[in-house]
Amino acid sequence: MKFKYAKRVVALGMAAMLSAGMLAGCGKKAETNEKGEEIVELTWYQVGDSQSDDELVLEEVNKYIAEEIGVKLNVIKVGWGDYNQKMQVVINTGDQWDMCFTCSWTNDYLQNAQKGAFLELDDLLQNEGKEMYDSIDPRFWEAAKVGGKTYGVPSEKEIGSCPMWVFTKEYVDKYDIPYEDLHTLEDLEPYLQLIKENEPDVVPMYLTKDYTAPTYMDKIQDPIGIEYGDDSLTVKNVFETDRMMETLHTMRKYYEAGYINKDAATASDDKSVKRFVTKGDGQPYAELIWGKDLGYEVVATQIMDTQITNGSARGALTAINKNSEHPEKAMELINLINTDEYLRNLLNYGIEGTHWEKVELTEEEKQEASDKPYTYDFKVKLNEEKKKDYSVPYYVQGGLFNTYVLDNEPVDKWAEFKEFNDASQEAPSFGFDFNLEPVSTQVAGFRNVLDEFGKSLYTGSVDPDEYVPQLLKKLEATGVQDVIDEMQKQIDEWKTNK
Amino acid sequence: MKRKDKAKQVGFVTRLKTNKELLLLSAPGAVWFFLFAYLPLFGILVAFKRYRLSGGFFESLITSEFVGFDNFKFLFSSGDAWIILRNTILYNLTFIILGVVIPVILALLLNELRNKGMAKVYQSSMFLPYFLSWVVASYCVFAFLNPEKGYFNAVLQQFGHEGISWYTEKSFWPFIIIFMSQWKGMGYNTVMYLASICGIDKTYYEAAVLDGATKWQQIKYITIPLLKPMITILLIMAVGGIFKADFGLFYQLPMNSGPLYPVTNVLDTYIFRALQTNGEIGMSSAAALFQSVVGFIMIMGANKLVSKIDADNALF
Repeated sequence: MKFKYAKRVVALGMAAMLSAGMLAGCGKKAETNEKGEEIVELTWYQVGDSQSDDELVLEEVNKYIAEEIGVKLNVIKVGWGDYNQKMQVVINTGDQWDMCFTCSWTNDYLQNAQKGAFLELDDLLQNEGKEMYDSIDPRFWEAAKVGGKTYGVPSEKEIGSCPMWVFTKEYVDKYDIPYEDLHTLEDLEPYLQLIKENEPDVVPMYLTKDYTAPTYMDKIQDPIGIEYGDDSLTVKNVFETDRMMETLHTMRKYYEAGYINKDAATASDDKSVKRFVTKGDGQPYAELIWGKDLGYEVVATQIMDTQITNGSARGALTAINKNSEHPEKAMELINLINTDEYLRNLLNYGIEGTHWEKVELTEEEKQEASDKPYTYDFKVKLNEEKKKDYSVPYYVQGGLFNTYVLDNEPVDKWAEFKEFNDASQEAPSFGFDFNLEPVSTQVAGFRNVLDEFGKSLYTGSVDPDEYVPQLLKKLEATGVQDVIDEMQKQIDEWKTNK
Repeated sequence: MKRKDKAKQVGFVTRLKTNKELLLLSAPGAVWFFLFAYLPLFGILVAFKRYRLSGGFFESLITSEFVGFDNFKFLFSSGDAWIILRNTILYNLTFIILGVVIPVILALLLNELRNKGMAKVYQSSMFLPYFLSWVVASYCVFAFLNPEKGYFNAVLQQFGHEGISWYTEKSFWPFIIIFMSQWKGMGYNTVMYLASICGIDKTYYEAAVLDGATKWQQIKYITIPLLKPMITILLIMAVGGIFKADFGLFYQLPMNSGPLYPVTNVLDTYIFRALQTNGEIGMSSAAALFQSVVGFIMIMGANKLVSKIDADNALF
């Protein structure tokens, strides 16, 4: 009796599962667009905080891309702090995903490409992605190559790293400081002194724990790399270069003279602190962004010539999963985003009429824009009330050059970016990728040593004559020489094959 | 002999029958442990492989190259390996000892309070920090230690001293870390001990009072001996974690400040920093395996030691 009952329960359970499976199958099959194409769903991992209107915008996006290319998007956003770890889990456990954001500073592009997580895109780029491929600066594509193959689609933006001094305009005007002529760290000294003497409430040089002293080197594997302008391609430890030692001594001098805030090595940026100068990673018109952020006007000047390195040119890419079931569709989508004005702006600013309004250019602006590339007939005026409900990092979903500019930005912003990119120099090491596998045990020890001494040295909080030898000794113990030798070997090979 | 065996077999089946309610009760737990603690054990393999992707997780695991103990090397490759081990073990030893002494004393004191309402208030306020994350706690500490605007430096300057750069001055930190770990953990342990004190039969105390025992004598001859099993169990468990450090305590609390590393770098923070650079999951698995194996040995050792001294109090 009991047995019979059990059998019945099992049978019922199986029947339920079967019909559930059928229902699911039906649900999938039913979705086609007007052209009759079957709609496939793609999962896209992006870095950034979730927005309250994400779903609203996504719905609009899905409506559009379903008709255009037969794709439906499932976007998963992971917060800034978690993205790197989360993606390592997602990628390493073979989870289902189709596209993801990757770059040199989170969810590392090079490592993932080397470990075989991403799909080689070269064929797709010549077919589904052709239009986009031709529109993006070739140097971005060059940078995206790992071992001769392309594993990600770069978001077109500033290509070089461009460290800048950022001055508070109020004091520049008050003391008539020729900021445009100040470039090196040493150039700043007389003006730091001036501010120190005359403005007791102002920190002459405000630094935080994220500060890195001006570095004239492409640190391929921090702290090891190739100095800018060194065409002989000699691998060096940055703390053994004269240039860095000089810089550290100057930093120490400034710190002891009281030009630098005492808590620099541990401080997080506190916007209420009045400062004369600080350092920032720049791009064209960056002072507008900084100024908006701080609530007062700033001016900026470049510390050194802009250098293109692998790290700087891999600032933002979109990769496709090696195991994706629909790689062609994914490429079609990336291509569409990077070439379709409507879709790009929808993703970037949200829904027109809800999150933003189109603003016509003035006659003057039209004049200015007339013969310049990457200019559009409209600017974007964000809806003050709704804009906080949809605010995404601009470079995560696609290139910047086909977005409209904001109404308070210059109409030729992207043309200026383009010029900036064209004027940037390639560092001698541009294009070289270090395969750290033979020395990964040694490299594992670096971070601990660098974190221990780096911040205090860069901010001048400790005496370089005492602490640099300690740092070098500890790096020695972790096997820094093996890494230098290995990198030199690889870079020599790369040079002969170039 | 044969009969005995048979008797045993029958015994097993009957035992199964007589205990079926209890077995049923334990079933969910057992299933949980099997699924989430024993089944994933094969993943230990990752620690001995150079994990590279090729398809799903299982496929990658099987096809990845076997590298023996290579993944463990990085743990000892740094020049600081000795300092890191020393920090981990010494801090944990201190935590283990203080983790018994302070909560037991507090539990005894709370137990003597006449006003049970106030006892609850004290108990709850001691328990509260246990629920705070280290990130939150670290900013509470920062309010005191901030070199520019912190309370401590403000007080120091009030009295004409120079402010201290707390986050670069390593000599204070062993004390701060131990203090904060006790601040956060003592409420929880106190409740454990308080619960076992409440479970002690009141008649012991009544008899003792009749014989004219003082409070101190009651504590010394009744409460503490009866707490011993509880203390031993918690001690053995704590010893198992001697190679694991509370990551938040050593990373968030000192604000990851470099100059403090000589006194704040422990195994967990070292591993975290090391693997940020190269993202090898083989190495992180190796590190976790190492910690677990050492923990296992420590637990077994401690248990053996306890059973030698006093077999009744041993864990198993």
